[in-house]
Amino acid sequence: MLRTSEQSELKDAPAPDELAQRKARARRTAWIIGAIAAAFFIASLVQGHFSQIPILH
Amino acid sequence: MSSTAQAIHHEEHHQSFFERWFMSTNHKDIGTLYLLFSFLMLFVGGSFAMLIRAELFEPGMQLMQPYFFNELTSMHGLVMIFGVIMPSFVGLANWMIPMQIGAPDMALPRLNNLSFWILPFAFILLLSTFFMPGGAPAAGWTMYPPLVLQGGESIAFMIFAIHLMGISSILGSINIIATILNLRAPGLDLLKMPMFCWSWLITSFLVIAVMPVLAGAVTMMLFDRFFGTNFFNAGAGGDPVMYQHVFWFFGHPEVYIMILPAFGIISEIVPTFARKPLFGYKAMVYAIACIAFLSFIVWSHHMFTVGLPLGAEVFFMFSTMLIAVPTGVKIFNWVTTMWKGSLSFETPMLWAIGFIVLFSIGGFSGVMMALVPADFQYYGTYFIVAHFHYVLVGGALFSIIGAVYYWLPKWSGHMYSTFWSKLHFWSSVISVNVLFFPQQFLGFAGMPRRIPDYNVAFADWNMVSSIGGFWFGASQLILVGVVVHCVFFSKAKATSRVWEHAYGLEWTLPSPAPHHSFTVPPVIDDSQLAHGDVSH
Repeated sequence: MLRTSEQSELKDAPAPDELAQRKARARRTAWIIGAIAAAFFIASLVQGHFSQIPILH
Repeated sequence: MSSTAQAIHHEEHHQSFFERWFMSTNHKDIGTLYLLFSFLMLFVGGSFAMLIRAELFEPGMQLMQPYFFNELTSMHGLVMIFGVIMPSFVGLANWMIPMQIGAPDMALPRLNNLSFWILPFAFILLLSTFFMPGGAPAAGWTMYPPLVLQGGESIAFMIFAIHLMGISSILGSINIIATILNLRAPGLDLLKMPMFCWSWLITSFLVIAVMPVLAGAVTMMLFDRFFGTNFFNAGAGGDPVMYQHVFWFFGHPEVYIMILPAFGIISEIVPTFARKPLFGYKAMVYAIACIAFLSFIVWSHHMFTVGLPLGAEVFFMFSTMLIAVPTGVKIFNWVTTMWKGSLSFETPMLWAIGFIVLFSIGGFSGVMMALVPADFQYYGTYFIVAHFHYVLVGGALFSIIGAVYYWLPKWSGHMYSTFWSKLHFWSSVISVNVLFFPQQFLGFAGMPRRIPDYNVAFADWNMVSSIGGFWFGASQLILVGVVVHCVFFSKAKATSRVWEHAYGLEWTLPSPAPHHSFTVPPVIDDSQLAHGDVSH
């Protein structure tokens, strides 16, 4: 999420558990990106069945 | 001292050598491991190049059998791409991204350790194929069937090695995305991030999108070779050209995976030594994103000669030429950043300027190849070899060396020898042109690539090119000396800012940077950021 400039003026250091929350969010991000990578792998294997693009043949 | 800080202090001083370097979860240690590994691989891949240039020093067969020559060209490409350029950029990302965004470490430190330690095993597998019956794979780094399928059984080791390299790259990229999106210091907007972080964020998405595609291509090849499928066997209804489509859908974005982080590095170095903010920061970000998008719709320019329909040739020709626009924006902005700046030519700036000039030469020859009729002449010649070496050596490698000279004082806490580092630059920049510029003449004259013997008409320029190759290879030994001296023997202490006009969070840390960077997120002061004011 983009932080607004108003938020950026909040100079307080985050609460101790905020880092843990961010790391949990980072793990979720990692799983989502990993799933996308896996989808690309599967798609590359089965593309021959679906991508009969006339312009390439 | 807080309990967290005490724990960190304890960890830092009670790690054995094995724990620190083999089980490390620290981004700096893992960054160092990546950089050392890629440095080692530079000399492995470089030694292959020296053997290739030794064989090509004069016409006729001197030193080796033709098949071994083909093994060398294939392995040189694989080692340099997957073992040098990519890991060194990941090493730089590991070192710098947490420090540049005010994070304590990478978001997923144990995954980071795994990402690195996969790599040495992948390369042991790959390089071991030299000692197998039938030898190493010899069909080029592109591994086109049916040629590659006619080689020995070592192809299975190569494919598994590529799978491992791909997994390593994907895990590394997942970590970089998760870190940048979630661990930025409060107040560090995305559009206040250093260009190096931006370039790596976009590069990571490219890696995520295309490395699995390479894995898919080589998996199908594995099945064709060992399990009786016929994906690429024309005799059984398969299509070898389909492999080329799938491979280059990976392969062209891969080119940008190897150059976008370089753009980020140059965008860090040039403003520092021009003593001006980067010209057109937002335009630079959008240009990188635009290049990344376009990289997905140009792949068939690598295959103009396979017999594409005219419509496809025209589409891929124009889409390829379109890439020159955002790339030109970047070159323009670097030059404009220098324009009327208070320039000084410290070692990193020399490498950055060398990058801009050499990358432009490689870029121009790339636009020439985008022209379909012209490409029929260039295809498979040394003109192609000269083009991608200008981009990858004069571009990617020069930026990596520039980055090492830029951030080494921050890493080690010491300054390096100005004389030797500048000698390294001048020796490299002259020799790299002696090495690759004549290859453009050879390509124009029709000398084919990947052939160990050649017509005597090509003898003179090949000899010049080989001399340049030996000179360039020897020049890199200076880098070893400079780095070893700086880290272990230099008595010149580096200040925290190191360079007079260097801005960004990493320069607020002492030199050498502490084992853990920002255990408490820094307070963001826009005046200390390189891009704190994003109005331009």
